[in-house]
Amino acid sequence: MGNVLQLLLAGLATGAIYALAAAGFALLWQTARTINFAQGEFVMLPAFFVLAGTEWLGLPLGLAILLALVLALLVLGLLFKRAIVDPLLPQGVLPVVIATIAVGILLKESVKEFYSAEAQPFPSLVAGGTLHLAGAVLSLQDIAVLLVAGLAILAMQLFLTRTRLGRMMQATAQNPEVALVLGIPTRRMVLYTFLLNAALVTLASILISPVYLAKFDNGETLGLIAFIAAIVGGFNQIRGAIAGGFLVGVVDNFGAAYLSSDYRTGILLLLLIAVILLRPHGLWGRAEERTV
Amino acid sequence: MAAEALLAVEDLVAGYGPVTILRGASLEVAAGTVTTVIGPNGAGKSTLMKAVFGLLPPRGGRVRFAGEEITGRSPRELLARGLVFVPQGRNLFPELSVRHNLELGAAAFALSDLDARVDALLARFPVLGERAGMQASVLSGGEQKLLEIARALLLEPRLLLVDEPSLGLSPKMTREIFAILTALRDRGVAVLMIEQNAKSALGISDVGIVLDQGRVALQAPAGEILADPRIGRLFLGGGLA
Repeated sequence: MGNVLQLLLAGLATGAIYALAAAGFALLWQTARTINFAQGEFVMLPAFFVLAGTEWLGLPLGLAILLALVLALLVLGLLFKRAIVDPLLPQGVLPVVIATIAVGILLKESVKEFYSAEAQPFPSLVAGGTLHLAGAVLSLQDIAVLLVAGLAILAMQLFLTRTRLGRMMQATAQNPEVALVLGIPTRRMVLYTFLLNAALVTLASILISPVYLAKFDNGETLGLIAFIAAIVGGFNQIRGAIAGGFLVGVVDNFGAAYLSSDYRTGILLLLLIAVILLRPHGLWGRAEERTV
Repeated sequence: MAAEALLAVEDLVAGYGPVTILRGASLEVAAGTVTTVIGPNGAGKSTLMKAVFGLLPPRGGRVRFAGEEITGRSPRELLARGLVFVPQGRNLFPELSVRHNLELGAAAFALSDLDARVDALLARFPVLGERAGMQASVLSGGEQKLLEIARALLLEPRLLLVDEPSLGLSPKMTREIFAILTALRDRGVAVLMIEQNAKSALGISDVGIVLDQGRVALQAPAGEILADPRIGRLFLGGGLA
């Protein structure tokens, strides 16, 4: 029982991080028909912005995180949209997909070239330690990650559903033509979506790097798992992608513990195949119609 | 017809890519009237609406609203001036509630009395009021169209552009929608409507406009158009006179 609780908490904690990245996938898909195959590298990069701030500039951690957020908003939000997505999207979804793969490689290789090829220790937001509860040994780090990511997800959901700006963004995502008729500045809303994604990946990066260390190729696994999470949950529903993130985190952890840690990605791929076969629009997604 | 037109379209030219659809259309809509545009498929009816409402940049001609030139202005600017548009087909956010859909009518504006306006519309259209908290997707086709029209009224417009409001609706629901449009006229809101259901639409209209091959072939009192045997044969399925 204690073991199950432990695995569940750890699964939910990593799942929350996947949920952040998967929500970003869903956001970009909804508003800009962009499948960002560099999302994993987007999660990898801000950690190095933080490290550059602390190591190169000697900034305290808080300030370095702020700097990383600003850089992420500029590079992974604004620049990514203006330089890659805007010019290519009129050519179709596929050119954007290929370009994002290239962006991923560029980011990965740049970090390797200009920072380090070695895994870098990353400062943790909370002190290590454990909590004993009902026979389980729970990691404080996991609890903190789950809390911070959970609160961020809750805040994002409240923002999207309860504020006027959030609802304009949702309206733009769900039906841009109608949003335009209602006078919503749809282009600005799409830009905000890219900025929101940049903020989400920054948070994911800061939460995951103390656990897995910051390394240039972390994005490969992260991107794949977040992509699986988004598809399993429902690519066209932010809450679906979030739920998918948690589910994948838990399945991954239990699969590694009880089935095989060597085949943990394989287990997730089986889950993905099962969902695609049985429920192609995802567990919590909705069937999508496209008019041309 | 009133002396000064609320909306005046002069020689409007518009199209898509290499295709020119609207080839110099001119028409007027007087304040407090219902005007219906009829015409065969491909005559440019929907293109006319989109070009007037700033969704399609005009290639020539002018649009004036309440004495001000508005050619090519953005939808947001037009909404601010009292011009609203209800496009063809389904234009709701199916997962949002009826109330939230209604509120989105003013999404681009910060209205201090938004809640009061929404409440007033929900009271005015009880079928929506009773379902205010439900997802818009549970509404029938007619109720959804009603919600779209109510949403357009949130900004208290002076002119409502509406493209094929009866499309896909039952005859009973069509009559209800038309009754709402005439009630708007009685409140001083002008309506410019496109309709395939030409006979019924002209029946409730003050003015009819016949659009053919991108030009206005005729603008006349609706009764005259209904009585014209040529128009009847051309657009109204014959047997009218």
